[in-house]
Amino acid sequence: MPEMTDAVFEYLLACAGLDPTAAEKAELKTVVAGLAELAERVRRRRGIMAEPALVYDFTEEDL
Amino acid sequence: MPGAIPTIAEAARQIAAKQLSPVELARACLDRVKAQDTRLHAFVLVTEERALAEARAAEAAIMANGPKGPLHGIPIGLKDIVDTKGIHTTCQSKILQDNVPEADAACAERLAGAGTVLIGKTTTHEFADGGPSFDLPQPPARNPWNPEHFTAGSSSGTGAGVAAGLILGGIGTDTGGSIRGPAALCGIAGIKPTYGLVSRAGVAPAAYTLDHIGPMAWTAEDCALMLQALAGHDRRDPASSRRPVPSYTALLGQGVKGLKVGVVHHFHETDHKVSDGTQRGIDAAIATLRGLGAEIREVQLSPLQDWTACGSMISIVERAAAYEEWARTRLHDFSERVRSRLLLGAFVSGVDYLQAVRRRRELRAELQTAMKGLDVVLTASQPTEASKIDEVPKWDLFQRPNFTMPFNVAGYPAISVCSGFGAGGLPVSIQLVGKPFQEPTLFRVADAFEKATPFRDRRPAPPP
Repeated sequence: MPEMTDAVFEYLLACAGLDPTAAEKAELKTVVAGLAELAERVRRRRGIMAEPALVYDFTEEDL
Repeated sequence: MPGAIPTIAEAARQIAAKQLSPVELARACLDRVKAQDTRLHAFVLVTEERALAEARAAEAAIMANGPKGPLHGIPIGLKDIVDTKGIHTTCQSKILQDNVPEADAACAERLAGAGTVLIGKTTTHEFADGGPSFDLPQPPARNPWNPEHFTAGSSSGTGAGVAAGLILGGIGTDTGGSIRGPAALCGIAGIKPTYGLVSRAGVAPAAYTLDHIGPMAWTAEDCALMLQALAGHDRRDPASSRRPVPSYTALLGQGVKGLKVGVVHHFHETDHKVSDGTQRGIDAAIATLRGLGAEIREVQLSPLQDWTACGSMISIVERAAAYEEWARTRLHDFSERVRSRLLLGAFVSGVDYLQAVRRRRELRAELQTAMKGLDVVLTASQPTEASKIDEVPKWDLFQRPNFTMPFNVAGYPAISVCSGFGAGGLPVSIQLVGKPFQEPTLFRVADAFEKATPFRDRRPAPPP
């Protein structure tokens, strides 16, 4: 797993418009690797036709 | 009947026979609130005047025409993320301290329509996330079995309130276990119904595609009575099911002889090994169901960690999206725990989120296949008895997989029921999972289990 640099970390927070304190940032840095592990667990070899679970519940108002 | 606290079913029978006054019942609940809630903090707001007015109105109507159903005159609580017309709904957040909704949430409306008596708004984790938090406008709820211990969350006040008899039933919401967790640790019953069965309209979201609304009560039968009032299509909820609503009590009393129960041993024995007390409760529950005539089978699913990862990825992103505006403009008005979770949203890519949603479809298909030929599945609801309230890890999301999340991911109905008492006399529980919209079977099994075991005869001791 590649390590997140400080610049990338700051960039992602800025893109999200979030402004935590220095202490919060320091704590957050200790858990972002855990997020990457979660992401790895949902990444699978699956065909391009494997759609996400979405539901279109058309109602009278759609007609 | 344990102590003087009836179940909803018992109270309904007594009210119908005019042996129990809804006003006396509401007063008894309010008296228990006054005696116990300074230590339990199950309520963020007690609506005493309104409760007594509703109880008097119920009593008058029942005396004139009989009850309109089993919930008429029954005291309940609503989690404080459920909108209530004219009554503060704060989501236990500094951000919404002055919020007074102009309309009831669908679930509040349906319970009021069934004649319930609202005792008050129950404590929640802030916006149904994080917790226990000690930096919110009001303190977290405490476990009636031992107030030094946690209730689990986020429907913590409803769990504590039902266990202590401050209310006979209440509303919880469940995004990854927020009904079943407090039900388990407080020793009561709580069901997360099939996704779409109960309208989410008017309830603050946690994660749109994982959120469920459901009842919590002392018994599975009481949950069935409440679900009967709650279930049904609501056009205000885009995920609301249009399926006809069956009778949720029709199969009660039929026992479990011949039913097939699958046990996901690897969830609680390998993937996340539960405490000795919890394991004893599970083993005894399997023996009880087998003794009642159920056929027990083994079920193999993907590791619990996969289910939890999928649900967590979806939950983190959907929550961050729902609360993005306040996170950008009022980040430090959130509690520390919710703030930390909202910040995680910045670090999950759109592709990662969509892979989780694709994974959900695969996992749901896996559960569908595994449940072919089965009526219900059994596993743990919580890994251990309740922790001390000041020893709950902040980042448990990354530290331990969650037994309840798989069925939010799949949308399948799941109920937590008490299966005994473990370390320190604290409750332990099992989780039973049904097929979509098969809540009647789930209640049938849970009710048979409760009636075959002595755990519904014991309530937490009130304070001296």
